[in-house]
Amino acid sequence: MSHPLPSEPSANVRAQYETADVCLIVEGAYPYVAGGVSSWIDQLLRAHSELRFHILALAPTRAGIALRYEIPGNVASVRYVFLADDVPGDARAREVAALCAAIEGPLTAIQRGTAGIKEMNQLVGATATSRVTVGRDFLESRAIWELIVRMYQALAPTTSFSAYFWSCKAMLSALLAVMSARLPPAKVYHTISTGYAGLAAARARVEAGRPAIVTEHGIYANERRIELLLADWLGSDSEAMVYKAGERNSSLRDMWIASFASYTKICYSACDKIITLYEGNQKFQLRDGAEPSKTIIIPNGIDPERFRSVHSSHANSRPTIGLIGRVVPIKDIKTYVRACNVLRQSFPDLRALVMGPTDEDGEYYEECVLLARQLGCEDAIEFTGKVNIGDYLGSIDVVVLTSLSEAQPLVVLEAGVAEIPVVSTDVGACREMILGCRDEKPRLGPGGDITALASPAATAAALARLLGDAQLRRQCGVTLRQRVLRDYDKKQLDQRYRELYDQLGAMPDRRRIRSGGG
Amino acid sequence: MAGVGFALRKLVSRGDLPSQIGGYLLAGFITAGPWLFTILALAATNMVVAMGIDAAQIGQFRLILIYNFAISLVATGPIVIVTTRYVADRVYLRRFDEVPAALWYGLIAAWLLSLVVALPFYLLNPELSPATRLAAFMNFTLVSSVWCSGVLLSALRGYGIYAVAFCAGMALAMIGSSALGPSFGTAGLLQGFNLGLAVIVFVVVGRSLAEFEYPFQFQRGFWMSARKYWDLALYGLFAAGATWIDKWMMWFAPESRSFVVFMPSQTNYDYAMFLVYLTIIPGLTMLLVFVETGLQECVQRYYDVIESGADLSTINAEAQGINRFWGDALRKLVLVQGPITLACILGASSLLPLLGALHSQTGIFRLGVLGAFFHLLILFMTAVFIYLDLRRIVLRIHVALLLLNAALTAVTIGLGFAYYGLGYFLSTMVIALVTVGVAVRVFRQLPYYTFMVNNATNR
Repeated sequence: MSHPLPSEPSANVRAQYETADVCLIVEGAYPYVAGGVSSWIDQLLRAHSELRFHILALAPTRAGIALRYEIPGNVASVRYVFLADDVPGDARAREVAALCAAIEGPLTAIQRGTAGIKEMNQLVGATATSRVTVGRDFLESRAIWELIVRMYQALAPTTSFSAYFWSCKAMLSALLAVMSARLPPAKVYHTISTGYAGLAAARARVEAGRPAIVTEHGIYANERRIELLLADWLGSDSEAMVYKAGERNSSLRDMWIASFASYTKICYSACDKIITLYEGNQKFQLRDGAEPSKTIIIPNGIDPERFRSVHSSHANSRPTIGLIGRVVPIKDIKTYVRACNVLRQSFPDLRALVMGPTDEDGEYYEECVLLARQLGCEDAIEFTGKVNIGDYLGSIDVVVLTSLSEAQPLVVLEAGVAEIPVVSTDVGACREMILGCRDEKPRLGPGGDITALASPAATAAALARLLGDAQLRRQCGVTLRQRVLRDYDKKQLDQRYRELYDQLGAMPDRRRIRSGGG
Repeated sequence: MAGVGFALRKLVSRGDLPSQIGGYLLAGFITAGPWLFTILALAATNMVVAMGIDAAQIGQFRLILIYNFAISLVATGPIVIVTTRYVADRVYLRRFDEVPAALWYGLIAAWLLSLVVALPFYLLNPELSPATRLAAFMNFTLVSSVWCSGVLLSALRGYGIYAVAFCAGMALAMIGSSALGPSFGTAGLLQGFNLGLAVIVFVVVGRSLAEFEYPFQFQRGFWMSARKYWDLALYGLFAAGATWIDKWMMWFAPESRSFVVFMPSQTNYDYAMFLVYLTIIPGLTMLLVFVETGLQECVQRYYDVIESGADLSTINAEAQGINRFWGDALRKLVLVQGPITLACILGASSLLPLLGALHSQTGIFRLGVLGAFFHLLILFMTAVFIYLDLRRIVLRIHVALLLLNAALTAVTIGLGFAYYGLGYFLSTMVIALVTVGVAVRVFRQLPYYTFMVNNATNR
């Protein structure tokens, strides 16, 4: 079920068996998807070049898998686990029946949303001793059919059987892929999300007895919840027959939401540390069952040497604000345009930059341009397209963010390093970065301002305050930079991970279940 | 953001239910249709007014027809089945513009087959006159074309057209043969018949293309589909083969004779079997009707219920509906065909002389009638399996039938003339019973087959 793909640094077989310092478990990102999380992982690997890593990459199928990153030399192996792989497998009837009987309990608990580490123990016990090679043979056997029918009748007997069947089969396939993959040996297992990757980490904790940690960028369960609510293939909730209250799911959505909640609980119970980037996310983790003593915040950092020499060097030029981001709806450029329009009344020679690619959503970009024209401020607003920020930071007075959703945007850190204050909507980690955490000691003060979402008036007011007061602006810029250097220094944050790895890696093995036994 | 939980849904959410059967109505037509046609066409030749035509020439004429019908049926079986299935899929997907290609591919394949198989066979036959060889080759090509031309009509359920074309064609064939026979001998008989066949082909193809007014486009997808349905292709081959294997083996039995060089036959067996198949025309017709009316709707409802999100108990109820339906239909079939078969057996000695058969053929006739009865039952149940897309099961049944029929016929050839026909009867009876057993097992667990087994074959 897990095969290394050809183009990898250590095609040599021995490296796979080496006990690495850390095994990173990633789902739907590195190294075959380019994006924020993958880049974070890439940087993590390079920042800890003296440590040896294995990568366990979870993907749906083999199709379309291609390396999007150059794998650094300290990665001993990259192993894939395909959650919906199509392999024949090898399954004899009696063993199939035994395996089905053993997984029914944990699977039912998962779908009820009540699963915890106990269920992972049971799953490990079931699969470690089974001789079944999971594949089509197994997944299309009579025993599996009967298992699915039993579970359907216990959990969701009035829902669409077809939808339940395919959902359950997909879940089984993914679950068993994770449970039967060969775990690369490592001292610490670090998963980059809950979900199936989280399950793999929990498995490592139980089966290999090694500590596991999880770093959540977005909250997997939340994202799946949103997807589920939007998924029309599940039918609308009004169509699902409403069942009497009890332990039964009233719809398939419930079943899926409960299942993902179970994965999260299992991961949290198994991990020694539950890490996320900012407080806002942490509260979700606590809500979803993370033990408070295990939760820590390790944000993304920035190299303070960047933009060091960039200082606001313009004395008499126009007041300039800049939004650094792609021109897409989630960044809510239109609110920015409207705010500029309001701001122009106080600052007639305002210069407003939008620094980011405009080709991702052409229709939206056209609408923004049209809006500027309609409001009569198109001479103030400048869409620069994708540019090198460093070229512009020197002339920007305030950086602006009007996004509807963010995690921990790097642009705030970049502005901070360049001593430029930031006005941002209250999303993701922005409040913490700009105004400081609730329990910040010592309090540094504001590095800009936080506004409500989609409120041009609020954004304009905050900007007006800063643009109209050079002293305030300078103060906020200095404060922001202080905060960034103190709390968001990449070297320090990398060091925190390094300490975690060292500390956990040195722990002795705990509670181990042998695999491959009779 | 990371998380593949939901990429999975793109892969498996609706699965791959074989609801492509939307237009997939070939079961009855493909199995019973050609059989009916063969019987009726050969019967028609008997009505050719043989004035001034040498008996030997009529014998040659019939022999060539039998060879052509038999071999072309088996050879084009795979082509017909695969193209029909392809058309059914396209219709279900509402990709009507891709449909005509199937017709042309089928016909071209048939013609190529004819060139490869029939041309050398007849060209190298020393006994037939050149004119006859040409006529025989053309006949093979035309019969193959008839089998392959109905592909689109199946999708359109245009059986009316087929019936009209058939009647017109056969009428013309008889007239043509009678007209050309006296002057041109065997070649004339054949060419007259060919005229009728040509009419059938032109009418059917013409009507098909009129309905599907799309220009012909090359469809690479066709060949990929063809590969996907290899088990259906094999089924076509084996089903036709199973029907003919005992006759073919009899052509090499001790009593066989070659009216034409390289074309042995056994008149006793052949003629008796021909009469046998006349007796199951009622049953064949019932099969056609049953499949085209009730069965398709029944199965379609079952699939609709699944797709529309019904719960399991509803699905099971629909499955039981199918079970009841085919059980009822089977009962009706037996009630209609049974007495006819029985009557033919009991009244054989009186009946046969009236039909021009020899007394010695009575034994074969009786055994053949029983065999054909069971063969009909097999066809009937196969139709239901095909509708539920249980292709592997259908294939296995027909392979078994072919092998058993061949084996037992071989044994009877060894045992002597008195036992002829026993091979056919025993093999069909055994397989019919086995098939009923399979049907009972499948219908008790139909959803399992639909969701699990079918997915396996649909990969």
